[in-house]
Amino acid sequence: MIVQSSKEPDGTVVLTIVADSLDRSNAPVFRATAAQAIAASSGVVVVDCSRVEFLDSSGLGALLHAHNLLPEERRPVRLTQVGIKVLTLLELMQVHRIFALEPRS
Amino acid sequence: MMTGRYFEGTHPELEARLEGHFARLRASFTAHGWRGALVLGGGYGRGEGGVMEGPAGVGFSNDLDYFLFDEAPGAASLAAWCRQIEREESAALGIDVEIKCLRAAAVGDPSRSMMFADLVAGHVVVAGDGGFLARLRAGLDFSRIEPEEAMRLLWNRGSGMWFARCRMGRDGQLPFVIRNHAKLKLALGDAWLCWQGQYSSQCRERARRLAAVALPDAFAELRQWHAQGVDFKFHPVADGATWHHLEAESRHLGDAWGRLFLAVEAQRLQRPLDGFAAYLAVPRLLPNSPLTRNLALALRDKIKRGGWIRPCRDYPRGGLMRALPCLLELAPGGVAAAGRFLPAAAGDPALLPSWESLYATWWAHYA
Repeated sequence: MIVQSSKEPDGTVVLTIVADSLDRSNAPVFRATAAQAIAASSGVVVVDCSRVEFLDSSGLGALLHAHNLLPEERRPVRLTQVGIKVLTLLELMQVHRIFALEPRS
Repeated sequence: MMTGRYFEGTHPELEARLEGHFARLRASFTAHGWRGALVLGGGYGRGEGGVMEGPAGVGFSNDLDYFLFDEAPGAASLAAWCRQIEREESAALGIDVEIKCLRAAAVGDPSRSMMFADLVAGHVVVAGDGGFLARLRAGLDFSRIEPEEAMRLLWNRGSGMWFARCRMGRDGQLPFVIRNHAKLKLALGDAWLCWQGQYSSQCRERARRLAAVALPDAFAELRQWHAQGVDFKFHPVADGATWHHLEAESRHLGDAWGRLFLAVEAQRLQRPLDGFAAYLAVPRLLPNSPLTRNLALALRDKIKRGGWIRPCRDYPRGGLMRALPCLLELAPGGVAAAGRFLPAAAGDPALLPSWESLYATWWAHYA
């Protein structure tokens, strides 16, 4: 399993990535899980990145996919506990403004 | 569009010219008693060679890239034959014919290299027994191409764009600039797919895959550029653009190149790179090359070529990879900062022409 999905009482969907990398090997699973969880709720989406140390273009594509699935009122996707490598990549790709980012402390 | 054996569409005259060329090569190969295999790779080998259509008829528009597999690829007699064939056939066909000599074992696991993966996926055996390539096809997996390959592609095409920038506005150089921009447009999308493990040897398939991936807004133009690159590859048109347009395009392409290059390098080097200042400060960009070898190469270059690429502890290509973003004005210090990595410029180090022949010479050595 690379992502765990849960729903909080207020409808918030929490997707916890339990791998150290979101990349070509597991991005399709993330996309499918995210799609299912988003469809089953009407709340905002939080992606817990506390274990993620690495993101490639597939991983980035998977996060963008989750963003694109959300209607305007449920955006932005909140990425929490984002590590420096992932943060740098998101900034480089100029997508850091479309997500709500919470860097790892 | 129907894909023929060497290019899209039907061009009997070009096919006949190519097959006449193959017959000459085969006859000469046999007459010299070479035991290996002569294999056409590149665009024409994969069935996606370029065809230039003009008022005078159709012509070839890409190089012919050959691989000669032999157990003694360094033999002087073989090299002499290759150079002679290259000269004669380049003159006969009006395009560059290049032959690379190597052992069959050099192909190794072709899925790790873009060049060999492309070769195994599509080629024409012109002479000898090249059946081993077809047998490797079953195990081909493009998703395993090394991240370094995306970097190499970007570095090579980025260098091409920089050469184009040097020639901007010069008489007779419009086709060169347009061609190099088109190659970079194709490469940006290809590198994205390679980075994502979705590369394919057929460029129209790559365009289809690129159309289906989620791209950040800042890279949305990758699809359009890639489509333009594909069109140009099959049917190059080297006019219709103004210098003003090409200068603006160069800046735009350079910006996208810089961000993608850094992202790909951040993955390959497994470290955060928030800009080229951080990239230039990485101690060794090519850590797989042993330190002693790098120092020996620097010494050899100093003796044989009168200079060396810095830092000496890195493989020389690493210094060139650092110099390119400086030359493209993407790194702190601008063009002059290339002097930290390259031998002394021929003139004012802040000006592009001062580096043009120097960078081209070293790039040819280590590309």
